[in-house]
Amino acid sequence: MRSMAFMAKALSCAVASVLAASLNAQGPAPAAAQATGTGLITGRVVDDAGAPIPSAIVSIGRGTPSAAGPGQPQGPPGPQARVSTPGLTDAQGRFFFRDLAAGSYNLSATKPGWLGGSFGRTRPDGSSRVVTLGDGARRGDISITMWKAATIAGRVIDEQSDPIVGAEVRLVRQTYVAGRRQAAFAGRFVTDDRGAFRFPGLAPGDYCVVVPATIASQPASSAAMNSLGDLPHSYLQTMTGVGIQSNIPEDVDLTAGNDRLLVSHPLGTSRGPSGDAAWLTYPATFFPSARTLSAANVIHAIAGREQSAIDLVVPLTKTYQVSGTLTASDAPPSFHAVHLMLADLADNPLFDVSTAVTDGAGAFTSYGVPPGQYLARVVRTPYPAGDARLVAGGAGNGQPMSVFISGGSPASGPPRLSDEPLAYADQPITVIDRNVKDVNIALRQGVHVRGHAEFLGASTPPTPAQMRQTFVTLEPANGQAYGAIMPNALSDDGHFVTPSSWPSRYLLRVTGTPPGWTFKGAMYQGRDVSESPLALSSDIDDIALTFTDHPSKIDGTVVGDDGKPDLGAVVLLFPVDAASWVDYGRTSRRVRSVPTTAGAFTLTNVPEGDYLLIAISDADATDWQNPAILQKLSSLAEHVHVADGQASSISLRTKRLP
Amino acid sequence: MKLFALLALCSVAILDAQSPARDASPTPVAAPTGTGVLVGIVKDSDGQPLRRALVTIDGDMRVTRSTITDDDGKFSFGALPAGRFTISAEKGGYPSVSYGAKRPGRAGSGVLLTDGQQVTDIALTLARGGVLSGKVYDDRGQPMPGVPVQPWEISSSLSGERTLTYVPGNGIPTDDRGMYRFYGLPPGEYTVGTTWFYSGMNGDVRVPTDAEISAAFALINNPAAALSAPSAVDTRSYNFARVYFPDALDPLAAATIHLSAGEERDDVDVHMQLRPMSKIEGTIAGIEANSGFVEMVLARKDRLGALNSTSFWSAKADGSFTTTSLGPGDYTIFARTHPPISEATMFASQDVTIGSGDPVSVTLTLQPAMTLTGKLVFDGVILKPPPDLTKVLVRFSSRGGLSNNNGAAKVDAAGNFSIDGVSTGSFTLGASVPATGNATPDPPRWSVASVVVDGRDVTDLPTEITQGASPSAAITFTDQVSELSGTVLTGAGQRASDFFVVVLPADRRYWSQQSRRIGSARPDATGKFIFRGLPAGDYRIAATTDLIPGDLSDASALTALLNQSTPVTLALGEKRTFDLKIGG
Repeated sequence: MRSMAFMAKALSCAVASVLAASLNAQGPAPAAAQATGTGLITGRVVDDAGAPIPSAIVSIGRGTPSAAGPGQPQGPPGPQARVSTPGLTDAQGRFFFRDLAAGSYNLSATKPGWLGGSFGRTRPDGSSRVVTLGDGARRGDISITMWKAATIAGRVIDEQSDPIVGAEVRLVRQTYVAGRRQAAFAGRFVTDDRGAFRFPGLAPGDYCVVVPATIASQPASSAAMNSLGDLPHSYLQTMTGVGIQSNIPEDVDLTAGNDRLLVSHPLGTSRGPSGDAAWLTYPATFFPSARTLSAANVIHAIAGREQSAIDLVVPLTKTYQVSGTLTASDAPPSFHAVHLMLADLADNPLFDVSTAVTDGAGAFTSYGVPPGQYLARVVRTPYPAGDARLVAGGAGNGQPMSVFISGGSPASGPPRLSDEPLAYADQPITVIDRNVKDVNIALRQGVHVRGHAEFLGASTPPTPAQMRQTFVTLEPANGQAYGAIMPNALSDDGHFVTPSSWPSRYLLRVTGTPPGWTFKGAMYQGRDVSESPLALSSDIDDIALTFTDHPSKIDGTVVGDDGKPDLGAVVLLFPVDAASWVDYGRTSRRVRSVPTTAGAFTLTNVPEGDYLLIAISDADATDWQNPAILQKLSSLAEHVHVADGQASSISLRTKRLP
Repeated sequence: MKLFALLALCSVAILDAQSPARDASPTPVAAPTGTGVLVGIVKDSDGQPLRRALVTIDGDMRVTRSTITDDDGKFSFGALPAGRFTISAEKGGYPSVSYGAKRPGRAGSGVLLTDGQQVTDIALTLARGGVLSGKVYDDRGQPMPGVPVQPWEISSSLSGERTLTYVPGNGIPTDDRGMYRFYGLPPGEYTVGTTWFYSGMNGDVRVPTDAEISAAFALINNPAAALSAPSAVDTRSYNFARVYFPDALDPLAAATIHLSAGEERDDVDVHMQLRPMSKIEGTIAGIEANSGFVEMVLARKDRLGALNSTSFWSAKADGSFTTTSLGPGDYTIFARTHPPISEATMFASQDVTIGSGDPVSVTLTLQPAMTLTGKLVFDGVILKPPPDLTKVLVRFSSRGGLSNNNGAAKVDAAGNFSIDGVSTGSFTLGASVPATGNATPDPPRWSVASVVVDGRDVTDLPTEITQGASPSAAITFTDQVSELSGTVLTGAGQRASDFFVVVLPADRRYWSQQSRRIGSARPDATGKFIFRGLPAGDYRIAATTDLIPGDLSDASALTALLNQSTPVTLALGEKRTFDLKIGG
């Protein structure tokens, strides 16, 4: 059924980010755009050695070039952008599109087991280019390269080398984001009867493999709640964690003592602890047999190659209980999820080791915890404001539930959070060789950032309606999606307050600037906290957002070794000061890459300062957010000083990564 | 083996919303304890001890415990109260086994433990499950990664035809080598099938002819030549059809794989086929400017019901509609104006057969929907009619589910009801009286004794409604609750408890999914069984040592039971005792 429901997906452990998306209608495909002409494109899909790839699906769409980014492979264009039904390549890898109107086109190819087919790409997740076609023009030189995907395969075995059957294995991709190594979920596989797992179709890069193990428990009183409608709000507000398997009442067949129910069982071991004794379970284990991500071996996946014999040894291990009470300044926090996670996953919460839901008195018991260093984390996001509600969905057939914000309408704008304060706790816990009891975890209240906008220039100040279209958000400085804060709009008179937020390091970002104005900076105690991290620990009231009507601009051209415009180059901008090469978030104006179009580039709104500017081939830009890469490039780069509001032009010649 | 769910960033533990409300929530009470002991060993089919097998005991007094076997395959449970315990063992790759069961996956008799008894000789044998594996190839004979493959068990349906039943939890996409593997399968008859490869409505592709490609490339090499139409053009859109082992498009024509215990087959290869897809282009005649939203439903009617699908969309304001990416097969297209359940509702329905690739043109003519009227009759001996008849739920469901009018019945205080928006086709009619808050846990309760439509008794049976009809129904409730009870006796006259008793209607028209006329019961320790609330009618009763829930929806299993059954007739509210003799 067609529906205009306004839904937003709540983010991980912190406050929601708004992804307004109407539900997909299940109706037939929208008709392809009918602008036809007499243009013709022919070409071939080939592998990186130039051999033809038959039976690839080639799609064409109206388009623009795309920026490169780690872990951002592009799919084919969506149906709306389509100008023709995709075609299958023949035995020689050939394809064609005819009857094309003049314009710019994206061309992409897909084939299972292959990566990256998009015209202009020189690496699997590199940037693509458009094909520009004049009226009635014919282009016969279009070559789309695809790369055979990498594979990581191995087995999960116990300490006697017996296969562990039915174990969930997760693949974690490690890339550099904002100068720091980030681990992101990249796939899962359940081992077969030989204990074997296999991750095909991988982009080249660095990976880790982990067998996670999450034991979840709830107070026995929760079993009486048969429907989502019975659940206290706090349950969904704190269950946006990472380690939970969907809880089906039929699975709740064990009491684990302390009047608690185990709702997810460990693999192949007894289904519950017996009293206070140590409980033998298979703990979370990284390849080859490590308990932490930092001790895990990194697997380097290469296109077209299989990394086999990635065998994880998971020994049956004594595990313990961590129990205690969650407290708050007011009523006991009942039905709150306490997420016990590996200490070295604090910024990469891939899974919980144990997830416990508090009872009516705030008491919790986490089961199945092997010796190690942990964080007990509780984050209760504010409930949405108005008619919007938190809802859980997506469960069934072993799929986990997601927590969404539902409500609002396209007319009234995206859903907002209420004024309820965020509550959080992040407490280190060490488990050695026995149960850890009487842990007291105190919930604290989130903090707010407030400020106002200043419009510095002669242009017409924004109207109240334009103010309301300008959004302020706190972006985690480490570039993690985890912890993103929901944007709040400026008030009619240009003031803002962020939702109650989890103390962390943030960058203050602004989107949707009023017409004629450009965001310049967020000044706090003489520092621009839009580009240097703000360590938030208590309320901040006096941030000045400045907007200008004459933003700075750098444009220029890039030529290759042959002196001709380089069509496959990427331009990187980064500060001279190496201390700035880390913690710049995901949307920095000071540290960024831009694609070139026909050998030209433009960088707008660069904050005042001293920079390095360099053009490199797209193939060299794979992991440019790694500070070591920036270090290598710094001696080859051009020095550029950007003054406030200044426009400058510069000619670059593409350099090679040393 | 329980699979761990995918744990995404936003995953969350939740009490399953889909689960039906349960009579009693499992609020834990202190589990009873005692001094009983259960000790045993788990071995494989070669007699070797199996380490780290999960053994679970489940007592009839809310005692559930589990443990894993040690390196010698041994397990033990202590401090047990008296009672009947089922004992099951499982290990990855081995179908689970219940103590006393005849086969893996079947219920076992368990152990009856007396107070303080020590049972130390429990032996469970786990046999390795069978394996089906193979490769999926594309139309060029190349291994095809990423194709979802499913195993199907071959059985017979309630109507007695060959059918395929999906083996749950086993769908998997082929890997980079085009390979798949299903394991832990009990012996049986299987086949393997793929799903649509480019799933969804937007997955079709062009497959240009050589002539088209050559003509296009020739134009590039000869800039002076005018763009012209090539000699042979294929404008159809293609997709990979679902295919069944080895290359059957019809699931019921799939080749059968006889998998014996522990057998490993690695040659179950499947060959994908590109097939032209069709579209339906149509108009709705008689649509008025103010008809507003017209809901469209397209239902695929496969001979294998599991493959049936429906899609929903709405017609354009001028009454035109298009639906694309349709594979060959039989479909029903259904249109209904909004609001869907009113006296003004108009509908149209037409069967469409899709061939290979050519568009199909359809004109639908809206016709007025019908109204079914009826009356509720309460024929009670003990109970008085419910005080508020407007709360009685009248259920109307159309076969095929295209126009579901559930909840549409309006019942007045006198028990007269009407259902608007009824379209032609087959439907079943039923009703229930909602339990009141302080209802006693046991009957008497109201249940449907008969449903009569236009003078014909259609209780628990489908009936047809034709265009322009104005059917009239009477639903009669009774508070009489039948009881069919008895004892299972062996040929020697001894009471037997290690059996399942099955009751089923003699008339195969009543063999439908979730029929209230089909049931199974486990005799208690003294061999006694009871069925309550069966509607009046002619039944057959049988005892079997071996039953899985699926047998009650499997015609061949029911037929086998019928052949060893004894007839028994139940009148309305009759309390009947019937001793069932088994064996010689």
